Parts: sequence; C-alpha cells; structure tokens
Amino acid sequence: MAEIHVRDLHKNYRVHVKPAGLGASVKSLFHRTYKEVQAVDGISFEIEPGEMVGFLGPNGAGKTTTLKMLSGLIYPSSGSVSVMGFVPWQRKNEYRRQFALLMGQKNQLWWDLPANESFRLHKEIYHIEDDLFKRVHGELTELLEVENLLDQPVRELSLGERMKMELIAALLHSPRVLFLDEPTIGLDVVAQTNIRHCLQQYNQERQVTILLTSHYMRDIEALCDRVLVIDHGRLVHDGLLRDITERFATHKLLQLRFQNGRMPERPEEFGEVTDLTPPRLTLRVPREQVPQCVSHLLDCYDVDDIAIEDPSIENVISALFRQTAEQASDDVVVAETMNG
Amino acid sequence: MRPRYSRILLRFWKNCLLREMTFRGHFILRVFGEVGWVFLLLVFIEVIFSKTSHVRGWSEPQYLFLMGTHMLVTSLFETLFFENCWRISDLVRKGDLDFVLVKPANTQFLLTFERIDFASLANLPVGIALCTYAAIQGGFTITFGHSVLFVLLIGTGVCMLYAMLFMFALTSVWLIRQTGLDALWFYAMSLSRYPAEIYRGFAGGTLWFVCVFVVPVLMVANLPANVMVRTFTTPFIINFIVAAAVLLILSNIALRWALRSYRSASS
Ligand SMILES: Nc1ncnc2c1ncn2[C@@H]1O[C@H](COP(=O)(O)OP(=O)(O)OP(=O)(O)O)[C@@H](O)[C@H]1O
Ligand SMILES: [Mg+2]
Repeated sequence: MAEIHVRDLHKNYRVHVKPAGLGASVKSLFHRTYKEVQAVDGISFEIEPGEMVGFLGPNGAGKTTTLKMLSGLIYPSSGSVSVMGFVPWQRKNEYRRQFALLMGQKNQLWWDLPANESFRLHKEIYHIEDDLFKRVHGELTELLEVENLLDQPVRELSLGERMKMELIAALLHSPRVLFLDEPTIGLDVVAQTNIRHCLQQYNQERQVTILLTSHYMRDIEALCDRVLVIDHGRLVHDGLLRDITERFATHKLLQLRFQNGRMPERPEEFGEVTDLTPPRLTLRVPREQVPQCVSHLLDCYDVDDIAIEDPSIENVISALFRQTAEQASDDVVVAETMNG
Repeated sequence: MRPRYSRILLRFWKNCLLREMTFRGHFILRVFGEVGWVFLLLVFIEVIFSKTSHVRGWSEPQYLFLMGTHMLVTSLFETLFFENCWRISDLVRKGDLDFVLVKPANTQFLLTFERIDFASLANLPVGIALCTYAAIQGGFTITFGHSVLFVLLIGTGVCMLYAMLFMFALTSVWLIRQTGLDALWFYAMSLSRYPAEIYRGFAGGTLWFVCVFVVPVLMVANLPANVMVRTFTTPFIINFIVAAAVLLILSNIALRWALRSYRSASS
C-alpha cells in the first residue's frame, strides 16, 4: 500500500483581475472581473513508504500548492488524496501527529524567544513523552550542531541557524511523512550540506517518506532517486532523475582534440559550436546525428581525443522548463487570436 | 491520545510571560497607560455627578460600581482574547495560519489561547478596588449568591465579547486586509461602559433592543452590575447566557466555514 496516493488532483484559484490605473481600479470596485488560475491541473502519483522524492518545477508550477493540499491546509477543487490512509483536509489529529510540513520561507518558531521554548511547546502540543523528547532533541541538535544556540532568541539567529531550528521543530515529533518546501532556500553551501546530511540520515534511520521541493539541483541529486517534474500544474515526468537526461536531452556534447592542428574549416556544419580553442572543439549535436557526425569527423581528421557527454541535468531541466514555457505562451497567442 | 490542553495552555502562558520579561520597559509603560486611562474616566464621572445626582436612574455609587464592573470585563477580555483575535488577520495575510492548521490540536483552541497580554491584567485589581469602594459608599447589601452570579455573568460577558470579535476577525479570510477589529472593540467597549438605559432614545430604540436582547453586548457590564446593586429579572439573565452560548457555537461554525475558504498565502 502506497504511503501517499494522489489521483487526478486539481486546484483552481479564482483571482480578481486588477486593472492598472486609478480610474480602472475605481470601476473594479463595482464590477469585478475574475479569472481562474489552474495552479494544479490533474496530477496523479504514488509514493511508497520510505521513499525520498524530489518535486521539481519552475516558479509558479504548483509545487507549493500541491504540498499544501497534501498537508490539508487547503481543499482541492477536485481529485483525491490519501496520505497514510487519511484524507488530509479532514485534518484528523491522528493524521496531523504523523506528518510535518517545513516551509523555507515561513517560520513558526516564536520570534522573541529562544528556540528551546518553542520546542517545549511542541512537546506539549504533540504530546511527546519526556524520554523520547530528550533523546530526539539531543540527536537533532547534535546532528545539526546547534547545541550552543538553543537559548538565544530566534530573532538573533542567522538565516541558516534559524532554518536548522525550524527543521528540528518539524522533526521533534518523529513524523512518518515529511513535506519540505524549499528547506535550503537562501542558505550557504555549508548549511545546505548540513541540512541535506541530516535529512539523509533521518530518512535512513527511520524510513520516513519525504517529498521535497527545491530549486537547487544539488539537493535533489544528493537526496532523491526519483523526481516528479511538474509544470503549469501538470506532471511532465515521474521517474528516476537520470532518466530525465535520457528523455529530455535533445543534444549531446562532443568534445574533440585534433592532431597536427588540422581542424574542420566549417565546424558549424557538424553541429552548434559551443567552444573553439584550437586544437580543441566542442560541439552540440542533436542526439540522432551523433554516430554519423563522429564517424565523419574520425574519417576526415586526425582526432587525438574524443568525449561524448550528456549535458548536465541542470541544463536539461532548464531547457525543459523554457520549452514548456514557450509552448504555453504559444497557446496563449492561439487562444487570443481565436477570441479576436 | 488526546492532546493535553491544560499543559499546552500553561506553556502558552509561560512563553508569553518570558517574552514580556525580555521587554520590561514596554511592559511597564503599557501598565501605566492602562491604569492612567482609568483615572481619566473617574475624573470624568466626578464632573458629571457634581452637576446631577442621578444619570437615568443610576446614583453615583451605582454608576461607579458599573464602571468597576466594566473594567473587570474589559481587562479580562483584553488579557485573554484581544491579542489573539487581533493576530488572526496577520496569520491569514502572511499565511502563518498554516502552522496552526497542521498542529494536532483543536484549531480554535490554539487560535484563542496562544497569547496572553499581562499588561491588561493591571486593570483587574483597579476594577475590584473600584467596585469595593462603590459598594461601601452606596451601602449596598450584597449576598453570597449575588456575588456568585456576578462572577458567572462577568465570565459570560467575556465569552460573548470573545465570540463576537473572533467571528469578526475571521472575515479576514475573505477580506485579507482586516484592520477593523480595533474599531469594533472600541465601539463595543465604549457602548457598554454606560448604563444601557441611556440608549433607549436613539433611533426609536432599535439599537437598544438589538444590543440588549439580540446580541446583548450592552449588557456585558450592565447586567452583572444590576445584579449586585440594582434589580434584575431571571428571564433576562437566561436570555443573556443563552445568547452567549449561541454566539460561542456560532464562532466555531464560522471558523469551520472560514477555513474552507482559506487560501494560504503563497510562499
Ligand atoms: N493563495 C493564492 N491565491 C491565488 N493564486 C495562487 C495562490 N497561491 C498560489 N497561486 C497561484 O498558483 C500557481 C502555483 O503556485 P505555487 O505556489 O504552487 O507555485 P510553486 O511551484 O511553489 O512555485 P515556486 O517555485 O515559485 O515556489 C501560481 O501561478 C500562483 O500564482
Ligand atoms: Mg513554492
């Protein structure tokens, strides 16, 4: 039985279209125009217990909205969700005791008090037994190296230190399912690695299920085998991270070094030239043309060294996002011409 | 496993106390502000009663007793509930209500009791002193039964004010920006400070009727004071308690309803 089960989930927001200018604003006081934003547009997936899944997508893709529905904060427009057998938006206490939501941009700790006071409040709200609290609290503060900051008011902590405290607050009650929305946003590399490491260890020790969004590919690469890629509210990929390259990379990079300084006179005939510093040449070649291109080059020139590489995942994904964004703007143009 | 609400409550209060202690100067200033305001009101009453012996049938000691009662009610309300109601609009606008909603405990409980404003508590002893002084000066006979009823009605009044302001605060789920709570509380407090009888003349008595029988906000101080130093009728008290109970139930229904429309500000 899957831990998280999402079927055909939709969320539409009705937003008031605000016209620019004061005159138009006054008019809109009496006559409002609305448009529907399809924040999440028919998503389905399943996540098994203990899995760590990355949730990728450009800004506004609907990642946060999905996580909010999974944690029962907002109601979906349609579709069904079951997490550990619960319907999230019924907000049963048994459900809420077993998951945690961490949002990189919001903080839940008491701003003027030391983090420890907030932790003690959590202990009561989640009804954590003394022994368990002491143990988990000790483990987490040690793992994140924040023992000496526990008694300092949260407002005096740095962003990274505060994020670590937020993470502790989210993990204190030993949740079975974790929703993390950009847990490493704005942190330096050391703090990012620190948090990543903590999540990894936590997942291994307790087999918690984690669904994580991040704009840092490093996070996703380090933590998740499987990724869900979402764009404009739709799922465009559900599978292994490395399959993304297989599926979406349209080109490969060909790196060549020539002997004797004799090089192709018109290298652009073979592909897009991305770098040319004799005797080296780097070409971006459509995948299906790679074999042909390589054999041709090897036949006609003295090639000293050759490497065929996939573009980095980061590049593939940003190309993928750009491509879908162009598609979407094409759709808009089509829709507009149809209306007009 | 039920959440241990009494322990959560203690923790809330302890955290608020810790916070007050870090901002000692602010706390002391606020206490002076609260108590100073009361003395201004007393001067005002002195001025009125130097011209007349009765206001709509209330003698000076009776009036002072009403004042004291009013202070008890407002001080309790402000200590326990005002800041909590006030916060709701902020929680909604910034989306921090999210954190309340994911906690495994009753949402209304968490929203209602998270903050306690110790500075407002300063008026409680002042109110008690004023009531005592007025009772001695007026030579009122006060039985134990009346005192119990007095305390009960003050509690009822505070609950009624809470339910009203809580519901009002929830409208921020739809309006997003909601800063009218201050004004509403100011009206409720100003209206209920005076003998209810003085409102009978306005607008053919409609306002008076609504505020006395339908949403008896005028009565939150009047009724307990009447019980102690004037006359009262049992049906009237029952009406008051029922109204408070209905408002409390409505506040819970309103919360469920509001949460269905909560959009959770994006992050
Ligand atoms: N409360 C809201 N009211 C109206 N529209 C909203 C609301 N929250 C989100 N949206 C819209 O829904 C869409 C999806 O937003 P969401 O926050 O889920 O994106 P995201 O994938 O988390 O993006 P990011 O990477 O920028 O965090 C956006 O177009 C956004 O404008
Ligand atoms: Mg987001």
